Amino acid sequence: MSKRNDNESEAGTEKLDGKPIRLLIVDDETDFLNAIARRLKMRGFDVVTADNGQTAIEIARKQKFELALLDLKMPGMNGKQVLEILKSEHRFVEVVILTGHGSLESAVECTKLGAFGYLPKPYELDDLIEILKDAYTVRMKKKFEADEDRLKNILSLATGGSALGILRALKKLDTPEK
Amino acid sequence: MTNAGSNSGNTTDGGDGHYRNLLLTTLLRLLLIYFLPVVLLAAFFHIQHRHLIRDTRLAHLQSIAEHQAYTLDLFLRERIINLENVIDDPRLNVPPTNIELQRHLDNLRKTSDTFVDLGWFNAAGDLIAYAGPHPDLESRNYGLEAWFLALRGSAKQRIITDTYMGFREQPHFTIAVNRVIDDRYVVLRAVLSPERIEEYVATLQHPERISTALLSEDGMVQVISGKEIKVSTPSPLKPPRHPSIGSDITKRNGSDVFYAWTWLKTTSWVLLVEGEDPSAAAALISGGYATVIIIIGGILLIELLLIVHRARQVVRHKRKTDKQEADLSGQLVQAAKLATVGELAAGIAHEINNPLAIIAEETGLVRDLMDPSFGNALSDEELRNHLDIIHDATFRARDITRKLLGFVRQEKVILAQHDVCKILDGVLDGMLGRELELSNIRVVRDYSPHLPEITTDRHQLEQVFLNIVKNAIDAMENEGTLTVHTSSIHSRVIISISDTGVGMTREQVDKAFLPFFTTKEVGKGTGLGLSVSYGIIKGLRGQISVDSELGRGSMFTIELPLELVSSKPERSHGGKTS
Repeated sequence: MSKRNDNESEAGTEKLDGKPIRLLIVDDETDFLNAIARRLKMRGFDVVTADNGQTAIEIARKQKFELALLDLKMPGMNGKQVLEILKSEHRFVEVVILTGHGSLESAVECTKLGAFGYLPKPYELDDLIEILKDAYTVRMKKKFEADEDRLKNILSLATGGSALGILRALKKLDTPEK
Repeated sequence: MTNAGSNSGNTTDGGDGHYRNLLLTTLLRLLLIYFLPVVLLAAFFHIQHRHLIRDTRLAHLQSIAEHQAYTLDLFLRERIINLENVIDDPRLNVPPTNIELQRHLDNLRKTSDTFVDLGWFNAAGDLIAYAGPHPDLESRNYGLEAWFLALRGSAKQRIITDTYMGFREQPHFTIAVNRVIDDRYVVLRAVLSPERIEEYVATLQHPERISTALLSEDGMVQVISGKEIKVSTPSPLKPPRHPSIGSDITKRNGSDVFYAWTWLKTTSWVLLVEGEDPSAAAALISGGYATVIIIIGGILLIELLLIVHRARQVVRHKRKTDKQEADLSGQLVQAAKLATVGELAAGIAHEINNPLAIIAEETGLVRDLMDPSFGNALSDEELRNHLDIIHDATFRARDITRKLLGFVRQEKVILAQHDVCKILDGVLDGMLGRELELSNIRVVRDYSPHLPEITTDRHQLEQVFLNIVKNAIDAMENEGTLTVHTSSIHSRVIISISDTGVGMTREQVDKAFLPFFTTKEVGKGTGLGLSVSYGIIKGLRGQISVDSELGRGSMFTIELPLELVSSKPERSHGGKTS
């Protein structure tokens, strides 16, 4: 049953909007990390892995990601802490929580902290991809709206007429938002 | 709560010996309650009865003595009057002739055949006239005879002598009267045969059990019933001079001898009546005693059987209630275990879900790799690798379920020698190992290197440690240090488990061991863990206490004895009581 679904979904998920989705996966279970990374790569995701929270935050500072998959229970920094830092440092990153813990309380808590979704382990890959796609769509929409606001802002600056305003608008266009 | 816990400990090491002792003490108690009053009452009545029999017996002997003494007095007085009649006879010549005396003797013998002879003496004690069977006695001088001197020397007009042999060398006694006739002192004497007196002395009733004797003042036997007369034989019994009438009991050859006496009025002789112990005699005569004993014995036997039955019933009932109580406390411990499992559930689910996720991902990956649409060819080497990962994950999950079952399964209490440190390690590395690691808790094991092994139940102790460590993990949220310390003092092992968690307030510390008290959010804790731990430790004859400071952490201290002696668990002092 799931095989058919896999096959169906495979074609459409190789690429979204022409370019691969950049995804950061954080989990302390390395066997799990390797397997899921490989499978998502096969489905067109651009995957980077980290086996602890500290590494994940460092990687995120160097590379851009649209999405992140986070485990909650990890030695060292736990999932919630990583989630908070990621959300504060990268406004448009959407985070999906992937955990074996699976209690309602932690799900609610993570949502409050800004997680897009919450998926208990083990899961069907299709469900994960579905959530990732949704997360990506939301992320793009937010980004688009933010860009639009920015453009309007720039436009209003530019249409203000002064040379200084035009200069400022040009400068803002040059520095892309995180 | 705590009672239930300690009871379960009792019943496990109690065994049959405990119930046998209970049966014995119950039996003893019932016997005392039922038989003691009966025995006391019986003893009281027996003593009363004996006294009554003795008193009756003594009274009986007394009446015989009095009666016979009276008869003897009467007899002796009569004989003296007989003699006085002779001496005062105005027709009698002074001194009389032998023929005259003989005629008088013949007359006297008509009244009483105790008279043996008659003799007439002058003041010097010469026998002047004589009538009787010993004519050779005539012309003898009695001037130095004891009786003659006694009569001559006193103002008395009559004398009755003790039995003596005298000149005729036959036991006899003498009565004599004196007169002064025509200024001449004369004495008329009669010898009486003691054999005749014996007939007066002998009783009519039960002569075989009652003997009568006539004793002189100095205790010499004068006459004795049914026995050959032995003059001047000292009597083994010498009744006192006062009172003149009396009775008493004395011991002879180990048995009681009852006797009564009455002093005669006519002379200083005493009549002594002796009888055996009447109860011994009564025992001999009543052949019905056997049936009485059989009946009483039968009743006692039935009562004894009833008592044994009742004692058994009591013990059976106690055994039953003990078992019910033990079952109940067993159920309670089990419920608490399940509650603990409930609290552990989220952590356990995590530990099982993680390997399951690995398995799911690995199988998915292998399928992907075999799918031509992905264009990847799967090498055997790679496949084996993935299968190994799946295999490992499967067994990781199995280990967790196994640990869980090992904890939940209702185990019988098994007492054995255990190293407490190993049990602690089992908890710290086993069921809670991963959770401690994931919660960033540093575990410091400060074990004493020479900790003696203790006799205890591993599963129960595991449950206690599990509860305490789990609480510590929850108290420390996401990081901290758990310090486990063991030491031994005076044949006791001390285990302390301290955390650097949120700690407890004074009120919370006071309530820590109360059932259903929890500091956790609703739905997260049942509040049974520590109360059951308290019960378990009490049952294992140990002590548990907690010390805590808000914001600093808590420290639980458990004290356990090396040996689990089967005495009552000691009363808790200090620490928590609930």
